[in-house]
Amino acid sequence: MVWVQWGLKERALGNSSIWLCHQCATCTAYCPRDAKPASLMAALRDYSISHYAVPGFLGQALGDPKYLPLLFALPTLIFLAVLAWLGHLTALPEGRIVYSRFLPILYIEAIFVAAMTLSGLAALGGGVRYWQAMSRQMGRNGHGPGQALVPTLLAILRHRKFRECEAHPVGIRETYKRHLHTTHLAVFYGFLGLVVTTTSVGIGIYAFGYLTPWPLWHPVKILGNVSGLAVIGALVVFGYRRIADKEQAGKSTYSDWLFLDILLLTTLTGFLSELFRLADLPGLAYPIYFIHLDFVFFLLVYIPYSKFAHVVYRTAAMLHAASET
Amino acid sequence: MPSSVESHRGILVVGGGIAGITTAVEAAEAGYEVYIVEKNPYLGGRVAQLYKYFPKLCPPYCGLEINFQRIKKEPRVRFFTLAEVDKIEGRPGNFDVTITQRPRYVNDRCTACNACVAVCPVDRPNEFNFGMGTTKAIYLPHEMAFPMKYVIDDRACRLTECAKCVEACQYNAIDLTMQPRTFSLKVGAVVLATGWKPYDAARIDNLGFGKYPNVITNVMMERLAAPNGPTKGKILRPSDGKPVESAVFIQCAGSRDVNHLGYCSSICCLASLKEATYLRDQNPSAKAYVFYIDLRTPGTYEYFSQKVLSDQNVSIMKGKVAKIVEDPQTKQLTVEAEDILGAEKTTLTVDLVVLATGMASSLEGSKLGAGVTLDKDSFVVADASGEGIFAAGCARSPVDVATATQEGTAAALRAIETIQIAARR
Repeated sequence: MVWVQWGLKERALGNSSIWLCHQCATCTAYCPRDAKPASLMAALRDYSISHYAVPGFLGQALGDPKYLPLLFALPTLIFLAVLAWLGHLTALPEGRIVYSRFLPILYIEAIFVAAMTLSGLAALGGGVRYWQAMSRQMGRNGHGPGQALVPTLLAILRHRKFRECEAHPVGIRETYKRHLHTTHLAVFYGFLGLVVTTTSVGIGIYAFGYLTPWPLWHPVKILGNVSGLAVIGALVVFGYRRIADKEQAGKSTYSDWLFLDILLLTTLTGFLSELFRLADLPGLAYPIYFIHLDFVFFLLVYIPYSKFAHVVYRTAAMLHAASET
Repeated sequence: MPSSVESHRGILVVGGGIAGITTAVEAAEAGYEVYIVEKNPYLGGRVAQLYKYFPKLCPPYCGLEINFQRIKKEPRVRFFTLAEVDKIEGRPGNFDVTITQRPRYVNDRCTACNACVAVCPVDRPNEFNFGMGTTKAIYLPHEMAFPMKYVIDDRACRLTECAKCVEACQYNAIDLTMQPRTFSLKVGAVVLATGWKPYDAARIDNLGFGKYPNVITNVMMERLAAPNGPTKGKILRPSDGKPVESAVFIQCAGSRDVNHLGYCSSICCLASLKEATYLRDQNPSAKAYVFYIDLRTPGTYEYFSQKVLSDQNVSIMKGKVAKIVEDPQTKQLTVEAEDILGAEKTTLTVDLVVLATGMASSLEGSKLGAGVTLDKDSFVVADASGEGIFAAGCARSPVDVATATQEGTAAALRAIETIQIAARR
């Protein structure tokens, strides 16, 4: 708070605390002046994502609603171009709905591998810039992040920090954040489940030639569906709390809502694609699938610039803090 | 009441602390009948519990003694202890006041010989010492109590079921069958001098009061340092009775805080600086640290602040204490705060933490009703209250003793004015 009031921007942004904070909002509940320090921390995190973003303009773009159409235009144009080249813009594939006949998985893989490589490099760049800033502002004792890696990852998997937040004594005022541990746990493992599902499907296709769509009773399919439901459930809770607790819990920003909505719409369109396919409605199924791909692209490729970047920055902060001691 | 009392010339003073006593003696010495209604079994209020006054660091009981002498010599002052006002009705020059007095169970024949205490089988927490130590169910409120009469706490005493004290008392001073009595007075004016109570420190749940024995409040520190207190004036850690080597004073503990008292009690900074001298006077190596938001020592109190802070072992740090952690073995306390001027988080480990809790109005939750207007913090808004009803001292706002006595005198004059004007009509 003091650094920000004094304008010590680099010192505030180069501190691990801003990302070690898991927004339990206990500080806001206790603040004698009702200055809402938790909202300040959230704003700092927002700011630091665009501050460390590589390239910088993408960080700006994700934080400003006026660039939203442009950001959507990129995947849309790419996928449209591929479809046009395949001739599927004018005529949908005949017969049973098989998405890989509409847009072959190989093409999707190619687009995503290329985009994700760039995005991964950008995320790495942002993470490294933050790491360097922390080392500059907070000092280092020479330890690398290596030895802290396993305990930090375990802490993340166990959601240890969130649990600590929950256990914190709550004063006279409500923090409105007590649901965080459970809800984030659900969305976290739900999302991991979806990643595992996608990876398994990829392996299935390329290693065993086991072509999609897989039957509903298949364990991987079940995992995917359950995970998707967990994600949607958690996101509904998140969204509901953001609306219901509005002022008391601290304001929700554009980037909060963008991330929540994109993740929700990605999962929802995924389910819709599955449902329309099963209902054999090609007129609905293929366009929805197209939109689904758009959202997936937005969600994953823009990771380093959206609120999703917390995956990078929070991990970096936790690693840095763990390797200090 | 005696028929000789001229009702319209009487003044009711609610509260027998320093402000109320001042109003009473000033008005009585000017020729007016005064009735003090005090809810405690003794007069003197909060001042009686203080060890020293700032800035002169002299004993507060000295000034109280002078006032008690004035009361003793002045037949126009009558006082009722263990009494509370139920109702005030009427208009300037003609108020009807209903008062209920709880039984003391000890009459005027008491010589304070202490024979009753020796046989009493029941202990109760010592309220005068803020719960530090106990007294028997029959007790003297404190060594210098005025009136110098014992009293029975009927929440603890088994009364006639036990009656050991009745046998022990050779003066027939104990009557366990006493009942509460309700009576009314006719007065011409009313002065509310109901005073203050320490803000409930247990509500500041991040500072560990009530959880960690070595976290105490500023008023408890007064009792610890007072020769008639629970430790006979030695500042010892409550956990193990060890002399205190280091103490942190936390200012604005539950004050100027949207979650607690919204206002500044105006005296706590000076009280903490004063209490730092208690510690320093006892122990040449002891260190005191004051964590503050703003150090408020208005007017010439600035000199007092400078004097205390010229001691190298008294230091101040601008920062709000966020958290206190106790070492379960040593019971040492680690205080965590943001050092605002250094722009760093800081921690400090000490023997004792003193919370400078603020002054809350005693009228919180009161039902004095018609004619008395309270603000959102339960302080009396004199101008908005009925004509002929005045307030002095901490009933109006949190003030120091000097201001309380000035307001007490001012209220006496206003009450006299009211009576004079009503008589002329």
